[in-house]
Amino acid sequence: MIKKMSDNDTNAKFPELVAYLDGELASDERSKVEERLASDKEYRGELAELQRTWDLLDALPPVVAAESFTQSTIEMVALKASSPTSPKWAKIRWLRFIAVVLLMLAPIGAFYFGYWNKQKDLNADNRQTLNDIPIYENLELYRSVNAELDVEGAMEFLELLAETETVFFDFDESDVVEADSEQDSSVQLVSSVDLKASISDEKMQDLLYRQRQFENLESGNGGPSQAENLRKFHEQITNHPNSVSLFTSLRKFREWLRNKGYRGQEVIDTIMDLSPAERVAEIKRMEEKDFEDRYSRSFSSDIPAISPSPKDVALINRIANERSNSYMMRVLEHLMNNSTPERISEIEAKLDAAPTEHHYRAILMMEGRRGVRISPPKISNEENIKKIIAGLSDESKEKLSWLSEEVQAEVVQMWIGIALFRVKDSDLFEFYDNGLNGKQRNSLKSVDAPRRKELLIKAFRQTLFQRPIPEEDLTELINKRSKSDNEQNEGSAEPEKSDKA
Amino acid sequence: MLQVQADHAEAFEELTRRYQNRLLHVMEHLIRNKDQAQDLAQEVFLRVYRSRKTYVPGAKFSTWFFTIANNVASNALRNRSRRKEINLNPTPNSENGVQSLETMAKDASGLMPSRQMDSRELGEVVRAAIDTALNERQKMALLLSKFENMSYQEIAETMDLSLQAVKSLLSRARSSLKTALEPYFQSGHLPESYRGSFDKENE
Repeated sequence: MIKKMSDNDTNAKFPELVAYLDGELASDERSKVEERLASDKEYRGELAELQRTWDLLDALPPVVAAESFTQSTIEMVALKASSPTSPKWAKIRWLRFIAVVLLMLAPIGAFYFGYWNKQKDLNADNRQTLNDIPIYENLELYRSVNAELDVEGAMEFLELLAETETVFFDFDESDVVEADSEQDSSVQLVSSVDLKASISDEKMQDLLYRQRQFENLESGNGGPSQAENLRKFHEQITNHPNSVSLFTSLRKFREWLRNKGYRGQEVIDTIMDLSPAERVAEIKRMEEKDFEDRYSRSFSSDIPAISPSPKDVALINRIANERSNSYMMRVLEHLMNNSTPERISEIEAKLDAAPTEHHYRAILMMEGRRGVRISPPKISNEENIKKIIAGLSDESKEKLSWLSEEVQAEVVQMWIGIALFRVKDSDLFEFYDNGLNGKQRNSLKSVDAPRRKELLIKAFRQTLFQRPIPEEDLTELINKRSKSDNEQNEGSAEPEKSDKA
Repeated sequence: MLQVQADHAEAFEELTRRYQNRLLHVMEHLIRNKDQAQDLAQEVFLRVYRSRKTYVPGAKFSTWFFTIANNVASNALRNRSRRKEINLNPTPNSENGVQSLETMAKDASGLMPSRQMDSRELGEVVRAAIDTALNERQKMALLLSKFENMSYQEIAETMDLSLQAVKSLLSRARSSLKTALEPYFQSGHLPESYRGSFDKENE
């Protein structure tokens, strides 16, 4: 859609206009431009479009560096700045190296003399370094649970996390696979005899950097040093009978923290002072709240700037429903096959109480994301998106035609997502019938239709995850209604049925 | 910067914090690969640190800083084209431009539901236009002009060009960009008839 141009084939029609907009013209040139602007419509149009293009650049998404970027930059600079690479320095280093070799050769006799005494100590040091390599590899991982400060607390926290299957929502299984492969490489490292030959320079640099970090850890004030704590933690976690699941929980926790992005530090501050059990409960609470907020917001999201042609709405709805249904079936199947009988009845009770299909879907989506951790279906691969677009009416295709293929795919996915999450009027009618009690229904009659819909949507959202409808919403109306009913002294028992239409 | 020259570690940290977002913004839009842009940004900070003693007090720091950034980026782009290492997959948060259902719902709802969707879409269009319509030098000049508010003289110093060359570079860049975005202008601000089909949906 976007015309490709080279540097040379585009000559600006009015090259002076850009400089004029940038305030870079000399005063006589500026006057000329202004004179022409006053009389030439095309010239004015060109100026307006150039300005508009300029303003559009503000739509480029801003880039914000993660906190880790600052830290790693400073550390990298500190590390590399101390190892100059210019030829001059290389020469000096070379001379220094020769000097060192000579110095080493000179006392060679002395070295052999003390060989038997020294060997033991040297071996001990090397062994320690070799043993510590897996700790360097996992340094960030271990420190994410403050293992360097409190070994027992970290272990208890991980054990609790591993036991409680329903903690994390925002977790992609593929991250574990990646992390596992990293772990494998570190295991190979340890078992490898010739360390230097088995790893790349980059990896070696990284390892040395971590080693420095490890060696710079604080020494304990009277108690064990942070390094000792990490060694102890490493030993405990690797020898634990559930070592694998503890490592998985550890990676999940770290991934979760990472996903918090810029809020990560805030989250750490909030949870790290808590006891392990409170910490797990707090994470769970944060996760549920995030999920609920996100879910209930998604159905009130506005229409995208481009919507499908009305002709295609049914098609989009059908695709959304098919995908949603197959996902729900997978979640249900997994829940039924892998949960305890108590949990099955708990979920069944929740599903039975769902007043609408939308509620039913929301509950399953939540369960699917936590207990089962079934990843939601990919809406489609590129091939499928193309098929969907091919099946659309010309009107919709025309609307998409000026977008690049990538953006087209995103827009179509949004359509499907919106079809899935949007609350339809039919959902509201169903909720009115099955989700409210007689009193609540009755109270809604005292307000006009737009306000009624607004209140209904609010109540609908509130009840999606078994939350009671807040006092200030329907209760206030109910009270008003009861008051007026009492005043009339002859309230009708069930007038709401007639309101259903 | 003078404190950095005097080897104050904290001053360097402060400098990094002040300039990292600005630098990353330019690098990411120029390089179109988040990881590589971050690596290059770190390389820039490293070079800034190494050449801190060559900074002449009184010279505008941002010009000096972005001169280094321009050199680093130019080298990287040169190497990249040499190796034909073309990034075919510019969408940052999904491997093939296709998102999962839930990510999409997340994005669709977002923190600011409707606005985010529109601006994201628009951001993509503008980004695609910059990528396809401008060469690297035009991009750099445009980014410095737009986001660093640099004058033509400063851009000329940063990119080691003559004033006239900057003038024509920017003029061509903005004209190309305008042409590339013309379909967007023509479709206008998305006609009213495009909106609201979902509102009419009935089952």
